[in-house]
Amino acid sequence: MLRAWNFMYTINPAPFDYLPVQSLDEAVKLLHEYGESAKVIAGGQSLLLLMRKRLITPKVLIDLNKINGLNYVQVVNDQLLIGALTTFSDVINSKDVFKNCPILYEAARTTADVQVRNRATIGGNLAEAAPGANIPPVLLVSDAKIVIKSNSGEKIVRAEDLFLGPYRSALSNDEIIREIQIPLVSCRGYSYSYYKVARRKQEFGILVGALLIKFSEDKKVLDVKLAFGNATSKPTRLKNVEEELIDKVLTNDLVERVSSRADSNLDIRSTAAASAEYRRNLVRVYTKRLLIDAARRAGVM
Amino acid sequence: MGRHLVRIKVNGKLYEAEVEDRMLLVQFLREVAGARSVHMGCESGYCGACTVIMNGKLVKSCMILAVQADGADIMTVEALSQDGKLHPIQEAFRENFAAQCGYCMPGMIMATYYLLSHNPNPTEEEIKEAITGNICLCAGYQNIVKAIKAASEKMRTLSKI
Repeated sequence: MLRAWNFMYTINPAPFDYLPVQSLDEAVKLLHEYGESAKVIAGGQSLLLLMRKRLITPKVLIDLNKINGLNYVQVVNDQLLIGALTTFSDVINSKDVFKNCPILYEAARTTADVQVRNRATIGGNLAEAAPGANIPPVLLVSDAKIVIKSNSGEKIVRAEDLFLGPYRSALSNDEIIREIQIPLVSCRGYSYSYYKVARRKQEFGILVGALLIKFSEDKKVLDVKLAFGNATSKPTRLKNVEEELIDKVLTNDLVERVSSRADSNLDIRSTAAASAEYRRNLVRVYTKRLLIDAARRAGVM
Repeated sequence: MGRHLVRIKVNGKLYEAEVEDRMLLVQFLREVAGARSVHMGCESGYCGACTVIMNGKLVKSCMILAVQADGADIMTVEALSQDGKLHPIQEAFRENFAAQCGYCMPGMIMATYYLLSHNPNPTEEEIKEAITGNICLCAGYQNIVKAIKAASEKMRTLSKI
């Protein structure tokens, strides 16, 4: 979902051959065969734009949309499983997501607009690895795993290892995301908070923050997971902040102290949309807001 | 390069053509099916002027290939008015002066149709959320939101009769 505010230079895609496939096996086989000259299309809400701007000019376009059984959300063996072709709208409408992982619901709901959410898929969104995307930080805090399929078999990578940099994922040319797996223990019993900072609602975030936090009966922090997207070149957990909070009771002083140096270990990005200095400030402010929000939601502050 | 035979039902009528694989759905709708209400605005998936309903889902037709829509059922603004009589949504838009230049109207109206068919009594917040994907460059949003509220009232009254 590249939300480029640029009316110029959008033309038709360069000519290509369209190959709809009926199964993922067929798709990875074709990918293997055509190599670099092929691209896979799912929702197409980013890919088609890139093709129309001729930033990419695949010779072969492999369409996954006719594959049955890749659009699902289900709970199996204490894991929330989401098929790669599940659209954002389907994620939002899934009771399993809302009940087990409300932070994912929140992130999906605030992605782009209705029309885009009706087409864009969760697998495509991850494969794109857009720095300001809503979902990646949420997957980081919920310890998600990504099932990747290629012609030679399947492998599972941690969400953290999927993203290498802006628009760069660990997927190689012949690999396709098949499923996202979220362990229920990583979300269950946690309070959450989620923020996207963007100039306009439907745009990618200048900063995307996700927090899961669990409190003990005496209001101490049992576990906390904080991640930001688009602060650095790839979505990142803020381990230093997490460590400072463990076993402590959240007070205004503590939150203030911790968030005021939340950005200290980060190699902050600078882009046309926001300077590094501005992003640094955002990281501090939103660390504070995320913590206070989640603590209030849990009734400990 | 590739060409495919594509059959798409537009407002109840089936259109068939052999098209280039790279043809966009919006181009098929305008050029093959003659549905000129489907506007090309930004052509980058942002403005929503090309919004139509495809198989019951609101989508932007500039971000879908015509070949991908093979076998689909598309509804555009042309399908709303019956026997020369405007649809209540169109009436509400007219009565509330929702159109300034009018270019975004087909998309706005389809987004409204989709919203009201899922949520007959939306709040102002929900209305604004529902048209996030539709840009009115005249910035005439106040009257558009007013029109959508009026349309929801009209349609609820009609469905009670």
